[in-house]
Amino acid sequence: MKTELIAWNQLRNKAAAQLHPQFAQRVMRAARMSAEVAPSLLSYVSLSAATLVVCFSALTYVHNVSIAQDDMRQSSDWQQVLSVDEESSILQ
Amino acid sequence: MDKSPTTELVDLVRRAQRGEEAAQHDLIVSYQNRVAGFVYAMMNRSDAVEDISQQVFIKMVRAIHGLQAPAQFESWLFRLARNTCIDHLRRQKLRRIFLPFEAEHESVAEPAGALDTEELDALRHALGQLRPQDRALIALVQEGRSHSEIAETLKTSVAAVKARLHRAREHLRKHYNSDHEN
Repeated sequence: MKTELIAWNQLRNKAAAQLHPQFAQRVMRAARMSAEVAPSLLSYVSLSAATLVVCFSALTYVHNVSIAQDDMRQSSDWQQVLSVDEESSILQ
Repeated sequence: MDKSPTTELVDLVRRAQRGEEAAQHDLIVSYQNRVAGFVYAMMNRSDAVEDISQQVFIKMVRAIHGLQAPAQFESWLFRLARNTCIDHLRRQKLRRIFLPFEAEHESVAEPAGALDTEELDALRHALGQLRPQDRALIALVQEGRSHSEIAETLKTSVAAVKARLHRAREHLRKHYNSDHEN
């Protein structure tokens, strides 16, 4: 039991020895910097909104393009059907 | 009239909450060694102590204005320290899944320092055998936290803390003694 207490004291001393002599000043500096760099809630929300707009625009664009392509394909198919129909009525 | 240590601490915390950098600095100086000891017991690696302790105190500086009861500062600080260490250990575990080689390097046990005593080596080995939650329990007790404070920190009952602590202590003692005797 006594050796365990000694070991805990040694552990605490070793841990304390790992800290830089100017540890507190360093932490304050880092805290100040992280406060300057850290994005605000507003910037998070703005970024999310912008991402949403970009994704929605891209989706709409892809959707419109594929609809237009389908329309063109279908109308050319109809043109073919019509021309075949016309040819057959002329022949008759 | 002299101020009691508790009143002094509450004053210091209140000043820190108002954003006084000198008070925040004094709080860090007062608690840095205890937090470092706690972090070392939790992480079991001396090379992680400074980095994680720094993160704990940065969180403290950024969140102290939201502390409702300045008298509870110590329990709050050690809760921050515990959560920071547990987060690190979880991230390490995740990295072990996605980056197995890097993880292999990280999981190599720290060799015993040339100046480390037999007692310290045995304690580190024994702590290494415990689950992080149990290490946190033991380390909180070593920091002088009461059972009710620990129960509040861990959001559990005092009876559950006592039972878990009893098991964790037995486990620690078993590993400590076996290592110390070898």
